[in-house]
Amino acid sequence: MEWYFVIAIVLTPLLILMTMGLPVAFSFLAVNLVGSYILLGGINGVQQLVLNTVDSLSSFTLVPIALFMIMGEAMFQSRIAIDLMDTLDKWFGRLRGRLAFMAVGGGVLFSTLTGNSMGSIALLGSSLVPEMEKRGYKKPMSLGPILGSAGLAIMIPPSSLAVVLGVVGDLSIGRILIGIIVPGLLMAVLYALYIYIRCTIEPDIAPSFDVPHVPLSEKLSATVINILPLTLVVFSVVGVIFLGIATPSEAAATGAFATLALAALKGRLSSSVFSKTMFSSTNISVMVLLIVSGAVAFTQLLAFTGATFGMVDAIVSLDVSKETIIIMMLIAVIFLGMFMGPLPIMLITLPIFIPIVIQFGFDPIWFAAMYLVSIETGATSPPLGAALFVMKAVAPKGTTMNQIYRAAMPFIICDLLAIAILFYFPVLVTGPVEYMFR
Amino acid sequence: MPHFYQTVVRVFSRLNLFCAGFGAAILFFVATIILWEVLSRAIFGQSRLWVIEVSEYSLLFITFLGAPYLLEKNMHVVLDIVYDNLGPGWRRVATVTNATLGLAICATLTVVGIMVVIDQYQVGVRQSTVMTPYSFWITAALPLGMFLMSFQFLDKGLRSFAGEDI
Repeated sequence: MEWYFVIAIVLTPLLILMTMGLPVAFSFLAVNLVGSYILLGGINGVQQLVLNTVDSLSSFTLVPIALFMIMGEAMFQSRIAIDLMDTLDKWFGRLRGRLAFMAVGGGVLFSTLTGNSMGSIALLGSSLVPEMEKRGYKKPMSLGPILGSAGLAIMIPPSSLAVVLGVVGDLSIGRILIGIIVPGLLMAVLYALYIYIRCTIEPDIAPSFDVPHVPLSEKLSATVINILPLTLVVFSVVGVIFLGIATPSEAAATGAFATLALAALKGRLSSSVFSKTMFSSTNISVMVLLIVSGAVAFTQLLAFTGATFGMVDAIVSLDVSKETIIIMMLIAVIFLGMFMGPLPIMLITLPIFIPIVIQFGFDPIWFAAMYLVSIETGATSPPLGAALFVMKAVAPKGTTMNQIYRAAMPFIICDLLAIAILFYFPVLVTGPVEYMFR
Repeated sequence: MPHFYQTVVRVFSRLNLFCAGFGAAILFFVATIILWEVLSRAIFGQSRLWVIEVSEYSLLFITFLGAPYLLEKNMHVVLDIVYDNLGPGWRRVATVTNATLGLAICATLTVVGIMVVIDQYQVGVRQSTVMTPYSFWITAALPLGMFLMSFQFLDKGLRSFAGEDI
């Protein structure tokens, strides 16, 4: 059977179940269950599914997901995040669309604190969206900037996905981490430009509101009190990796404890805050991990049918130029991201893509940077991008998936623009790497 | 709903809350042992290989202990693009159908999971890792979580069928 028929046969029931309102994780489980029974040999196939699910969740690379959630929740529950946003608020003044700009600024700052875009969405979504709604921001300008800028978490170190990319693609993790910094900042600039242009053309989308004048001394003191101590948290995550003290997964634990320690130093780590932090971070982790396990088993099922490889083969065997094939690979990643989580996509495509990129004579770090932007683009792309569901989980009650889809679209276009810029100007990736590792 | 059934629902609800709390405690334990591993390696030059393995298994238990509580509280991620636009009648049909499907999925995985656990126990399968624990201890997390979720789906189906708004 042709790969596109297999994909259609497997994806159609999955989409039907999801749109019927069955939770995403259980929709994956249902398709995996039936698929395993039919394709993997009856009850033995289902037993294999049980073992695969257990295996997929017993992975140390998934540990940072849960630990970064602790960082995010501790920052939120102890109001450190609110302090951070308040300080940014003082600096942004009366700028139109200031809360949307704050989402981008917060996204960049949180990216240096958490390596997980889902955690950033959870944090920015729950702290900023209610205020945006109160101020009359329309959904595209409240949800969109958060969806976009939270994705910077995988583009600015520490990035757990960059580490996975390095491990699976057999590339230097240090070079990748340096190589993705400029692309991450480029994305932030594009988001800010879009917000500025949209708010200028369509002022009603982010109504301006009066804010009291803040003297420079107050801005500086707020920065020293609220932002400077965060360097401790940044060091506990990024510093320990660069100094070789901890692996990226371990750095998530040092980061979690540093955040808890900071909350304690500020006198805000009461037993209530601590238990809420742990309980909430566990709940969000479980939500994400269950979907990841379903997605991994689903990926294995697709791989078993040969559909995934058929699709990848169809793309790379086209009679076109090397550059076009690179673009096709990135498109494939974005397309897969609409249906699967980043981890399974990386596990499937990287072992095939990276040798081809090297064979073509391109710099794999350059490709890795564009690949990560594509992963992020896929994660925010309808209908099933993982980030969209996390946004749904933390958005105010009553927010529909349709509103989230529409809000994500302009930022997906910004991501595509970033990929195009990186494609035509590889020096943005290779320049800093060559400078650091010469 | 009969009084006995409501008592059973309350028992499961408390069990779910306990499991979720236990999952949160395990998460803190994981963070602690990883931090201890980093400090121990950096300061004393000693490494404990079991830390990674215990963390991996813990992640599995955190997921399956926490998932039933999320299901009870309707906190699992749902694609509501069609569901939200259904009328009350169709929504009830969808809820009952989803609950039936969910029950079928979870009950099947509970039964098959138990079969795998029994098989691993009888054969004496061990994990091919440093600690070489018996595999059935690890795999048992899945049928346990699936069993608790089976009941939640059953409860949702019954309550929706009885006309309650879930």
